Amino acid sequence: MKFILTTCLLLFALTFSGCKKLLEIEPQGKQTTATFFTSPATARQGLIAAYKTLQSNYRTNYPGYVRWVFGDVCSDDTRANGGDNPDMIQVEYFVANSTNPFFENAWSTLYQGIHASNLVVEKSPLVQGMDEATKSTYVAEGKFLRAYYYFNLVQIFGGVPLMLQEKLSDYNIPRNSKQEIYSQIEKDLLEAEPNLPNRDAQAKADYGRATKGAAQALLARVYLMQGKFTETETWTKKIIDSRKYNLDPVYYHLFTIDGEYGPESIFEINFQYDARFYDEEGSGDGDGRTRGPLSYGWGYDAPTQDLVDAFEPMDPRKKATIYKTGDILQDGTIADVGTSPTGYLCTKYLILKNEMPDQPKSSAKDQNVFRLGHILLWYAEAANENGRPNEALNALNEVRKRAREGNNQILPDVTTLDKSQLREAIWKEQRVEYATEVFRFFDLLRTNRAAKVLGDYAKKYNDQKGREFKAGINELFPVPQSQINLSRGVLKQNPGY
Amino acid sequence: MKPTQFFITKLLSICLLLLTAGTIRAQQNDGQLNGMVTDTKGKILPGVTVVASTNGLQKTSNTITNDKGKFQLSGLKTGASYDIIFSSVGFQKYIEHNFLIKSGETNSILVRMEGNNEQLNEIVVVGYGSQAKRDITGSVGSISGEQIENRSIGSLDQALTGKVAGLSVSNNSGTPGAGMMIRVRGVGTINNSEPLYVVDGNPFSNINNLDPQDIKSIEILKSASAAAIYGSRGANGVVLVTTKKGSNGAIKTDINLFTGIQTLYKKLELTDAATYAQYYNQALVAGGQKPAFKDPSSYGKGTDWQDAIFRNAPISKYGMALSGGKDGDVYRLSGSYLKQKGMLIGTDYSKLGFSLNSAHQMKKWLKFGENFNYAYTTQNNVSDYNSDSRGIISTALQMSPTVPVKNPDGSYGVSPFANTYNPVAAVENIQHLEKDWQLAGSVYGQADLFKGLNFKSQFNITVGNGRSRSYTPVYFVSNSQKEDVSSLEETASNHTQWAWENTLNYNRTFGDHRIEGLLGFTGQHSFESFIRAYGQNLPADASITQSLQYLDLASSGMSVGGGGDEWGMVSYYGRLNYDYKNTYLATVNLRRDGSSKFGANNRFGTFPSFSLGWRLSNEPFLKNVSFLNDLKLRGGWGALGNAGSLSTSATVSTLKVNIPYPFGAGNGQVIHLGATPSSIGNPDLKWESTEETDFGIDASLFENRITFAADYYHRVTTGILIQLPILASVGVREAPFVNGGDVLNKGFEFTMGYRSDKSRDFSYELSANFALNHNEVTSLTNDGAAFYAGEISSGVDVSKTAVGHPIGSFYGYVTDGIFQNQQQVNQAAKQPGAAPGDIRFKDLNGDGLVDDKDQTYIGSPWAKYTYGFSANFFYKNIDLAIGINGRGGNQIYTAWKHSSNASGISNYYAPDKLKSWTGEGTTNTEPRVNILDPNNNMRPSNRWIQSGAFLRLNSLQLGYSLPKSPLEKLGISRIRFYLGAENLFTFTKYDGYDPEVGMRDGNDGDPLDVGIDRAYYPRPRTFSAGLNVSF
Repeated sequence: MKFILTTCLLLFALTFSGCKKLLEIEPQGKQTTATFFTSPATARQGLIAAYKTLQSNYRTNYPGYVRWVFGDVCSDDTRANGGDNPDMIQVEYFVANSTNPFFENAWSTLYQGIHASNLVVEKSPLVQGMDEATKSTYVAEGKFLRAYYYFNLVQIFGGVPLMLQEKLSDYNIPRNSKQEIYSQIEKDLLEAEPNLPNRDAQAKADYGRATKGAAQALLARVYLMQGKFTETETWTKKIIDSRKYNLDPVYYHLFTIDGEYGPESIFEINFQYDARFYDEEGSGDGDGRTRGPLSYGWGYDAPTQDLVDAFEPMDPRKKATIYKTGDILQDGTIADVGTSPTGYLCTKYLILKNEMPDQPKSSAKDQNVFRLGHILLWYAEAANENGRPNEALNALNEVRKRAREGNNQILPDVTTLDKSQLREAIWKEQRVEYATEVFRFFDLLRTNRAAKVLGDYAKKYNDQKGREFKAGINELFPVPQSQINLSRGVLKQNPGY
Repeated sequence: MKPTQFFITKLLSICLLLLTAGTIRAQQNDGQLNGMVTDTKGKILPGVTVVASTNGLQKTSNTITNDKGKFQLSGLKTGASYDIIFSSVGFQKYIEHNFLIKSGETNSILVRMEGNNEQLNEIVVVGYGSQAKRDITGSVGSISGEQIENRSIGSLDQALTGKVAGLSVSNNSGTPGAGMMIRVRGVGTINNSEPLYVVDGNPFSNINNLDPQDIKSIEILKSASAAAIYGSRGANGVVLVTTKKGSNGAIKTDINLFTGIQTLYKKLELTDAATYAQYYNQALVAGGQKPAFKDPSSYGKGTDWQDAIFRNAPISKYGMALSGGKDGDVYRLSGSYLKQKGMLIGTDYSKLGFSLNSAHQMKKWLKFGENFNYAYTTQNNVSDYNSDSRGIISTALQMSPTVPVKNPDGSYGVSPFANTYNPVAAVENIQHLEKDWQLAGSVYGQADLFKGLNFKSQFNITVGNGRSRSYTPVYFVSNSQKEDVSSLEETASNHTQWAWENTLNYNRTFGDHRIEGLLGFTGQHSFESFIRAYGQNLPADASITQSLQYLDLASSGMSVGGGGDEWGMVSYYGRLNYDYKNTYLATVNLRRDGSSKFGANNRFGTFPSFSLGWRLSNEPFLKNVSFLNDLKLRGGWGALGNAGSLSTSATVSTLKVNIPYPFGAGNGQVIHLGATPSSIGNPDLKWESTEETDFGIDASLFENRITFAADYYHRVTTGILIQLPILASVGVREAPFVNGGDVLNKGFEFTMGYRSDKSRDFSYELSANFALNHNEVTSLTNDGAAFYAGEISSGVDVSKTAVGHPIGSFYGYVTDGIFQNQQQVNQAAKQPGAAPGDIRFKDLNGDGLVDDKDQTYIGSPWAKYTYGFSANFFYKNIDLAIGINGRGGNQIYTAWKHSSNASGISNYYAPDKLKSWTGEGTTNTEPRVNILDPNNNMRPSNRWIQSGAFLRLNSLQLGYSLPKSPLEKLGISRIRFYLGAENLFTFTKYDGYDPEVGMRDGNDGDPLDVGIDRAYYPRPRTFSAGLNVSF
């Protein structure tokens, strides 16, 4: 009996002493934010997360912001493939409504990037044990990234709510004006630029992090987008005059893995295959998957006949941009575009077998965001607008010279000094020089050509594409309905939607 | 209660225990008692337990009547008086008090035992104890073991369908081994509203690991006052399962087996190849594109992809149970093996289960026992549907019928369209196997401490392990359906959960007063973890040689992962039942729960409840109403806490780590790992609370032939723990948990039963139940912003949870016929892209423009009424059981039609597509075909809503038992053959496979995504034959 008594007492004593333990259990396998961004190591983690959003793309499990659908598919350059992605076709045809996932995903993904960038800007100066130089570089990188994300938002939606801090008393704020967003972007970039390293001061292992040149290029594009030609000229000229960048002698080389961060490269979105992270929001899964050929990807982005015809005869850039079934590819294999709706696919996102012998599934090719070729043509445009046609002509012809790759039979120098003829020539050159590099639709918008060019396309090819574009409405896409609902009407829709 | 108080109580009881245990005395034994037992009609009763005892406490001698109904008790003390107790299953216990054993005489006794008045004396398990059903004041539904045995089903939950008023059972997926969606009294919270399952006292149980043949009874604790004793885990109702136990007597063997065939109940009517090609061409031409098929009619019937993926599949089960006992030491051991092929190719399931329980009367006052169930399951499965339409069934419905399953050369047929693939090839290239085992059970000790005071300590434990292995070989079907690199992914998970329950029970009658008290303390702990490993490039033969499917043989692409979850809970509770003259009944519960899921400030919640009953039939004014056997009014109120679906990390802000981004150039880029805040913690979270008021009436009439019960309940869940969607501009991915929102459920429940005189050759039992439920969200924080769920295509949600509407209501536009001509288009509210042949949508806000603001609530996935009917007929040796169930007042969102009614590359639902608009006056329902669909006729609208009403002949069983007398000579007590059918007929107007649509992704899915039919794996129709043998 004593035994039973003792056992019972023991059992109860155990039960009660276990009580407290039962109620004090930490979440398993979760790191809390308690010490985040307080040490150099966690600050660096925060910085890397701010870059991560750059890789956003169209993916089955992680739908994100798809740059090329807005920049290229909406233009006369490429079209969405097949009947299996009606959402994308609706965006292409300007018939998508505010519940279309491409808008929702763009909005939320870009704000995730802004959130991560805000943390970098806000918290880096407070990190213990990090030297001042690193702090100021981090802040500058954060501002550069924030500007990049806001620039993408403002191009697509116009004015958006301006979030500049991690924590706010009220997140449900109305949209700021387009002008306010642009001002903030300019401010961030002007503050970031002095504190970012020059490209040649950057270690090779850091390639991909923001540089002075990257901030200058983004700033130039931001001014150009607003039609501020004086500032565009100033900042493009800074890049050119810095003599830190040179045109790559072989155009196609820019779009190979070997060509990553070549002499011409100013800013790239990096991709590298690693099985560990293949499913982790597609780190090794760049445009080769989405825009690449059917054999490795989905071939969603098919160049139009109109783009093919835009190239001058024998222009080597055509082969580096577009291929069709039967073409002999750069590695000697014979191309097959499968069921491309136009019969063409993008060479720039094609991964050749010899580039990725081990992992044909992945696309570890970086995406070019800014390179000297872009800068020269933007400089040319601005200089021409600002009444300096000779400078414009020089820059334009420098680009054409490189494109020639030594073959003087093709791509003759442009000679006209007539402002409007030169403008047309520069626009034409922009289209072919950086075709499928996600600028075309926005170039059409900023130069007020979208309605005409797209309308002409619809007529010329008797095609639905471009037919529904309405000036005054379709320059902006609709704000996602989910966000309007969540804001209980604080967020207002763009006109016409 | 403070621990010290509790401790003192315990100390006292231990002392009492010691005192009572010391009272065993020595005996003289030379007397004998002979006797015979029959029933009231004089039929001899073998196997009756006969016990002689003194003072009602001391068991002196016991035996069992032989096959002539006779018994002999020896070793009795002459000159002493004994209570002789007769007991047998199915009969009322009979006690002959103070029987004097005379010396020198033959003591004999003849006893006639009365049959159990089953209905009235039914004992119902109520949580930490049991109660006579007639005395229960809460609302409890019961299912007996007989009602569910011998069904040709794979899992127990399917057997609950239609059995209890207010218990709704819906099919999530017909995947063999998949669980059903079970809800008690509607859906109380936006979170998972799954009830708590308790098997023999173990609150960590998976009832589908049990063999239905092992079930003695299932009780559904519906009202808050009934479930209160399970407190914070019982807010959504409690399903108490009691398994069969052994009983005193010789060893008894039961053998049960069945074998059957599962077939597809219904095929969707899709267009054949020629019709498909014709309509697809039409759609392309209408969209300004070139036709895809040169000569549509040349394709003929083409491939029926449903035939290609569905098959008739066998199911069989073999089971055996041994039970018996002696002197209060009883045992039962059972084993069963279920083998089931899936109707969908590539799926199968098997379950090997063992159950063992025994109880040991160590001393008169001390009892120990244990109860264990082990189940080992293996499952081959494929994705039957998927959000990105990559499931096998959705692919088969979408696949062009012009494509053959296989080409004449043996290669797979390939769709000419990107991003669709051959579902048969997909199944044949998937190797996904899951193997799980789980051991669940309990050990307990029980001591009678003092008159009516009893202490019980039960330790419940559930441990289990799951493994899965997915092997993907290198294969090539087409450019969009291929793998260049083989890979293997293995996962291993394990869980250990325990609950230790200590209860003191006091049960005494003082004259007209009966008191039953319970004090208890429970500690619970749950721990789960998993690891995952992945590798690529396995040896080439691994696809055919399973022995090569190991990660050691993978040569690249290694990756690993792992995680876990842990929580603990502490509860103190008490219950008091009181009745006066068996006429006035009362129950009071009080419970205090603490959970580790909450922050230190709000860790504990206190939840009281009470219920009252008044047995009118005992009152003088009704006593003389001869046909009235029992009439009771009851009512109660109770509050319950709930934190079941709360994430264990809800109170802290967490980081998303290992966010990869590479720096560097070329192939030398190195991936760096980042981190960012991904959730916002809320340290002020409190318990979600459910308050329910319940009124009921129980009646039993005409010698208990007719029974009737009715209930009204009004249940409000307040402070629902929800993940409040936040503006994307906040930039954090996961929405924070808040106590936001109230949900109301109210309704009526009716149950009626009739049983005929069992002594006749033909007898029968009928039972019917009917329940009404009204579900409504009554408040949501964030000023009433709604929750959207039910994604049918990327970014398009069709379910909206908002104030004033049922949880997960369907939301969309309202159609208003078809524009027959341009004039009608011009006259209607502006609808961008509209042309004749398109759907006219209603301009609900009348602003002259059809836009997002013109959406409204277009249906609810929750049945307004559910009903069930069961009937059992017995004629001599033949028995027939029928189970019918149904529901209505709910809607189904036919998401599968979003592909089959589109004008895209998917195959078409023929009954709709053939009615497409082709010119003025042709139709007013189905729009024109146009691949571009400029009017967005596909937008979520009531076009996709169908009634979910159905009536189903769910089960049917016809049995024949061989006559008893010849068998008994062989020592066999029963041989019964039966034919069974499941899911036999469904009367419904619904177009899809099955109107019983549950939750997406099964019970782990989004609880707001309900009633949206994406063409889930349909439940098979099963025909079976079986055999029961007992000896």
